[in-house]
Amino acid sequence: MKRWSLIFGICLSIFTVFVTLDTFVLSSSYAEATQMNMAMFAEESEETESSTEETKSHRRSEKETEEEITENSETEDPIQITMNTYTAYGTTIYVADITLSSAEYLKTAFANDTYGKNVTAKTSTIAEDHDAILAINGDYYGVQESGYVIRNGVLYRDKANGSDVLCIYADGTMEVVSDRDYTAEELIEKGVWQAFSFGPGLVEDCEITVSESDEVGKAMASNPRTAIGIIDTNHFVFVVSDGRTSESEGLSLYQLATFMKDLGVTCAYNLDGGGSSTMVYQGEVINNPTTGGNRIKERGVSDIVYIG
Amino acid sequence: MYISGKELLKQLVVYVGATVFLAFFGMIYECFSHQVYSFYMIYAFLIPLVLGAVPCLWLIWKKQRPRKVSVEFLNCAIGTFSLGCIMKGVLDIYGTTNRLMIVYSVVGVVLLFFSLLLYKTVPSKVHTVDANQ
Repeated sequence: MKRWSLIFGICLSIFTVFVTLDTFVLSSSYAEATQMNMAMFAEESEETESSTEETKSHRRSEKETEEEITENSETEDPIQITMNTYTAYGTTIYVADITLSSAEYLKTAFANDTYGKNVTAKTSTIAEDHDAILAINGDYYGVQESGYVIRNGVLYRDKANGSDVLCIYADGTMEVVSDRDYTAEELIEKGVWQAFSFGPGLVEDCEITVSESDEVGKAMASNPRTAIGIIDTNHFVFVVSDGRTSESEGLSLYQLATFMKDLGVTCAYNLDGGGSSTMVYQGEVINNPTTGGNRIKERGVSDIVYIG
Repeated sequence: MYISGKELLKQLVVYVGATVFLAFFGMIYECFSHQVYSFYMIYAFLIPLVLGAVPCLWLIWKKQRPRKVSVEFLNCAIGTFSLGCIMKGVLDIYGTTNRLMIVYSVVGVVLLFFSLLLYKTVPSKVHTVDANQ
């Protein structure tokens, strides 16, 4: 009998090693991910043009003496980015204030342009591969086996996991929904351009939606953080904080939410933090990414959000 | 066929040792996890304690000796549950999941079922002859 127990113990150990490798090491490529559903913006553009034509016609008929309506957008820069650095809660926080002429410039990319498991690359590498002006790490979809993944208007995963989903629409708006309320296909039909499943939502309708005891994965501590928020249509903020170092303590979710609200966002969402938190601007990593706090070094991530 | 009183005491030492080891392992792992907590990691020590040490103490107190085969199945079940708990804790702290984790629960339950099915005791004073001798 003891021999059978020994054999069982060996089998259990081999199985455990396999599970460990399967979780952290073995990579699987599910799909190549280079396509973008730009048809979403063709529809948006048609609606905007017809709406603009109606508005012009309405104004001209109302007041013939009114000043000539100036054309906008065509001569303006489609991407405007203002970078700021703050210190709050003993932490350095980097804020990118982004105004776009269209949400099509807010894109996402996968590591190695591959949708899969344990497929990772540094945020700066992925950003460089896609000529990103500005980039932050995404929701690290690759470590999860569920949670909606919609990128650049294309659906990659439709398995819900009960989490808050950040939806960025092609019309330049943003909201947090529950995957219990919508299927991924319904979100695509609603015009969702990007969907992330990490969370939680931090600010909704200008109000903080996390409590001081809320945390991700039972983490109660201050950590490096990455978040995205919206101030107005096509006016976004990317926020990355340092943490786990003597110079920067890091933020709790509540502190992050408070900071986002003070920036004036109407909606904000927490993305993957910790060692993943990275902001790249014009090819340079501008924060201090660290996993353990003892070495400043980027970590490989599954995906990024970028402007370009 | 039935374990001896000496072997039962040895089992108790093993269960207590496993309990202490898992308690310390969980504590040390949590120290390096950037304060991300997993109840599976913290409470993994309860498995050898509740499934192993406590019944063992009860049998010693009651002066009973269980069948060897039942104890072996129980040991395998405890090992499976403990390892599964630790793995779940590691995954929780990392923030990930793996569909294969269900195997630990299923195998552990099956082993525990057979252990209970084959459970039988004799009083400690009863002399039993081991078929292997």
